[in-house]
Amino acid sequence: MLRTSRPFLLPAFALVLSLMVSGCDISNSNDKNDENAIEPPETYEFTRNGESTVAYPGQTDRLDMVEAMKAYIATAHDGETISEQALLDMFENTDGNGGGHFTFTSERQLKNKTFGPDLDENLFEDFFAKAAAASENGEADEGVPGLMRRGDGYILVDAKGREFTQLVEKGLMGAVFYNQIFNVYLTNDRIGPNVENEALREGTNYTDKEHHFDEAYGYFDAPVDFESDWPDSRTGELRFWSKYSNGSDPQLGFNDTIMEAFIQGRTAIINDNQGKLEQQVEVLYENLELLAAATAVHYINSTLSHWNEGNQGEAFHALSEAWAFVNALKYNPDKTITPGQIDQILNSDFGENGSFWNVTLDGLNNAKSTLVDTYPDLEPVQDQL
Amino acid sequence: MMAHARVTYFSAILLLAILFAACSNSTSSDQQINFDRSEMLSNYGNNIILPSFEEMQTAVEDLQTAAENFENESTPEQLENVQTALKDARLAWQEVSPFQFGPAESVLLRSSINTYPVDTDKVDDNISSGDYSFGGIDNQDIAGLPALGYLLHGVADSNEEILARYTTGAEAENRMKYLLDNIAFVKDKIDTAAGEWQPSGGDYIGMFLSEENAGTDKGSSLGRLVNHYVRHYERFLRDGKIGIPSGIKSAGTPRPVAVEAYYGGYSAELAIANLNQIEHIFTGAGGKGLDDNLLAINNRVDFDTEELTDDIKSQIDEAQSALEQLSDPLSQQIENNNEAVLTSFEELHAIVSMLKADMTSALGITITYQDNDGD
Repeated sequence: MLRTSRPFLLPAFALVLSLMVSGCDISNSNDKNDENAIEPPETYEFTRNGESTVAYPGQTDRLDMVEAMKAYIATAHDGETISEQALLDMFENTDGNGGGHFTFTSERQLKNKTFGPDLDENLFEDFFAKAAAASENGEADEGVPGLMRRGDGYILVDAKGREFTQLVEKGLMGAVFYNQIFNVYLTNDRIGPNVENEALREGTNYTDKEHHFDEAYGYFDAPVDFESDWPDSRTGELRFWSKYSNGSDPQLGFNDTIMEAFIQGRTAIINDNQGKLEQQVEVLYENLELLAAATAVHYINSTLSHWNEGNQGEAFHALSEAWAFVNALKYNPDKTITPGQIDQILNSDFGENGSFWNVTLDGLNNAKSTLVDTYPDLEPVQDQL
Repeated sequence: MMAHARVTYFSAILLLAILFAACSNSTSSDQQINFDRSEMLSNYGNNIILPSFEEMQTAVEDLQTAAENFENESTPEQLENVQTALKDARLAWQEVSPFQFGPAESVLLRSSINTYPVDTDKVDDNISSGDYSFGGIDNQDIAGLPALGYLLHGVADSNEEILARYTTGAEAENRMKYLLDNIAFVKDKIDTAAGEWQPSGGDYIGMFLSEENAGTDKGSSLGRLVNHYVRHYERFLRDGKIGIPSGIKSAGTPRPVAVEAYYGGYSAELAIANLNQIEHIFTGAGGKGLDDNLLAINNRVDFDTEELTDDIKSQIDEAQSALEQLSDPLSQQIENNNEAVLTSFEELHAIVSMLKADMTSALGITITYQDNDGD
């Protein structure tokens, strides 16, 4: 079963079983019927009657929206004043074009896909208001929001030294993208046994169940042939989660693991094999969470490295990234890390009262070891990430 | 003018990177069979890195002893002894500073020990209030060896007056305490980092020399060593010691106060010592080094590594000669005749692409650091 009622799966056993039977006729014995069952393709491409059944334009729109919001906030780095209303308009997609701030039109929006508790706390709305105020505030200092030197340029930070572009961009990668994958599209409600998987949705070439799974894939946003050892020449095709997957792929092999789970999961839907689908969904929950944790460790290392080189702005930038990736862990309903540990990292380890100005070496090391202890896969690679 | 030069420099690097990307496949490990990389790493670990950390430890221990003697017996001789011990420690630092990975980075060794210029106002305030702590991200410039330089050379114009600031001055006691606390802070950092390297301690050297890390990939020992070596050379020797104070890396405006040992007045000497260590690391200081590795793969890569090795060595010599033309105090040299300083920058700069692009691509090492992650 999926999120609502999970069986006691034995992933190792499942893996062995799937290895044993892969490539044999018997592998399809549970599929809806042998002659129609397919083998997992090499790439995330699925067809019916010669036409693709994969579509996720709504996800692409929202990814574009987050990009536009980040770019807008980043204009403050060059000294522009930014507007709270503009950010709210982009968040809510006012008039279908972000209140005139998008270069595209869309009927979707980010706000109504944002994690409920974050909306209740006005998490992002507060960031927008503070970012706008900070952009008129001059130079940042301890307890003072504003511009902070980073390399040859500046970043806009809040009173705690956290960079707004990271809080918003990476924040939404968690609160929208991961939230939608974890709490919506990969749940029983959307890909469970009772979801329509025979009749095609009107005017489309896919079933509801196929489409829901594709929408989860759309939030990962990888090229259809994404894989490990991804060539440098094609990193421009990656953004958001697929980009960070590739970032720690050399150490942890995320590209193959996550892509294979998506491809096999989608194949299982076509074959109407709920058991196999749920095995792959398990793999996705586990590895997407691990990806956020690995990326957080990467940025803690990066913080130390910049700090050791005397670059406070670079260090705060990296720590802002780490903040958002640790925060992203909370969106997995079955997360390994506890809410208390997340709170400890964000509000104590990264500086007393969550202020980066108070960060200590011990705090960073403490955060790192909490992550490594919680996710043992990170242990052997913790210093290489 | 400067912007143009920079563009040209980056274009050259880019071009080289593109050129060498095409032949990176030709440097696979089977083509390096004649060269024992483990032997080279062992030379680095056992004969260069460990002794460098040990010498730095000893130098700081001596500095602490000298300062304690100075506290017990505040005479001109004892003051001079601490000043000499500080200089020795700062010279010893030149040997350790290119190795800012692993244990050094874990304890923030560089930013703790050698952040300059010093925030002298903050130091003075701290001495007055007696209320301070070291090691925060926002106060790296109140501690470390440069701050000790200020405390021992910069608080007055002559040794006689400096001595008075520690004996009869209003804040003599606080100042002495700040001096000793600062040394204790430095000592704790170097002791921890050195202990982590030691086989009897954290045994980082065991990992450094392990077979699984003997490759050339990102996490490999050689990959780390070379990345930090080149990074140090570029950013902390070329820029930090020469480029920034001479104005090349600070928008054309010379900043004499930004030299490494502004108060002690021996910044050029430190730069020379550091370049010596850069050369030692390249040549392996009598053992197997990067130069031997390059020579061993000559005719196996698409360009002449023998020529490259010669070029690197002779350009280091050029840079060394240029640095020797400078006189200490370097801050005065910058104010009086900055041309010679700018020349030394150019000579130092000429080595960067050889190390960063040519050497690394020949050896199959990827430079993974960049100034920022681009987002």
